[in-house]
Amino acid sequence: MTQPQPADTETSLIEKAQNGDRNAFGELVRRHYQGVVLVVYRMCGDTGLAEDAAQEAFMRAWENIPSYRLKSPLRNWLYRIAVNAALDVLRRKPEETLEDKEARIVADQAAGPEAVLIEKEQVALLQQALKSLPEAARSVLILREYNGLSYQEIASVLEVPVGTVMSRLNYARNRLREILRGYTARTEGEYA
Amino acid sequence: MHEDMRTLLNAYLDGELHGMRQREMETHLVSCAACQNELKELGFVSELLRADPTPEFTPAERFVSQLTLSLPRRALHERPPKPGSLPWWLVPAGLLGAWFFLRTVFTLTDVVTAAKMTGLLGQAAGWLGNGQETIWFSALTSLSGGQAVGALPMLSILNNVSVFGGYLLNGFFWQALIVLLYWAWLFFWWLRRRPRLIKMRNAS
Repeated sequence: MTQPQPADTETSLIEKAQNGDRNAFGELVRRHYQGVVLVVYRMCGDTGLAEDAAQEAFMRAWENIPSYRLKSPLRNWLYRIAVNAALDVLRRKPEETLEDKEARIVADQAAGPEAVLIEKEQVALLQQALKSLPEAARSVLILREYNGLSYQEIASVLEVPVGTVMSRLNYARNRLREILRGYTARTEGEYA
Repeated sequence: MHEDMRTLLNAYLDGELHGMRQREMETHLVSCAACQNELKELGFVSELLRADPTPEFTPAERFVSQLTLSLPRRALHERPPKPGSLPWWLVPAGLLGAWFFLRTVFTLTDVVTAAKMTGLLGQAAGWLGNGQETIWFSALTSLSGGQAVGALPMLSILNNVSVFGGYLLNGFFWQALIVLLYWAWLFFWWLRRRPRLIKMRNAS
């Protein structure tokens, strides 16, 4: 087992990892850690859960890498595993109560100038709303907004047609837009 | 028109509309205040989502160290021979050899049969035996004492047709089998080569 070099191509690292080379797999993890952890964090909305999900995702990747074929980029394959791992971690965690959610939003709202406060509230509100979206719509929105994937790449990660990606993204953004509108109407009433 | 364009606002916002569709959208936006407003709101949603800061995670180096320590051992997988290795290329060479052998056997059989039928081999053909009878025809001949059945022209014709058909079928079957195996090899070769082509395309 030789130490992987930075110049090693992804393909050669994959081939080594497929043959059981842990160092080569470690190098692949190092290269894709940031993207994977971002996906799972946005899916879970919690740092601790995200790290558990990232760990689980890479363990699954290690188990399944012998069957990985270079038909799609490794990144897409890892993101697919990451989305599924995050959803599994979320299903296993105890349900958060409504009081917890409200307490967290209040805690997030640090005191400050009015405009900053409103924006912070909006950001917190959208993060909560993001978590309430259906899994399918949420994963599309996250891959687009936080990982910057194109529609074609999202379709490849989630193994759905591009048309489905578009409709899920329309649904997700419109849902968040409605929530934001409701919030704006409320705050305008309060500050008036 | 307005509804069609509305459904494409997100794609426009994400830079996923190109060419004529993009120009159509731009023209529509100039005259449609509702779509302009919706696009602005969608952009704001996107902006707010991205405004949420990403927290600090375990640094990649430490994460990788912890992970590699906990990775379970995995038995090395036996992988099929790669294209380019000797056993892989022996398959089509073997098939070609088998086809050549069969063709030689069939051609020689044709030549000997033709020589025997035209009497060119004379007495020397005696050791070849009578290969012109099917089992059922031989059985009928032996049951009737080799006289009555052989005299019936219909049965004789049927026997000849059966012998000829069997010969053709035999030849066709083996050659078709070789061709099918060769196609299967070509298909697997293409399947194994395809990811490399994709990789090369991605690299360029």
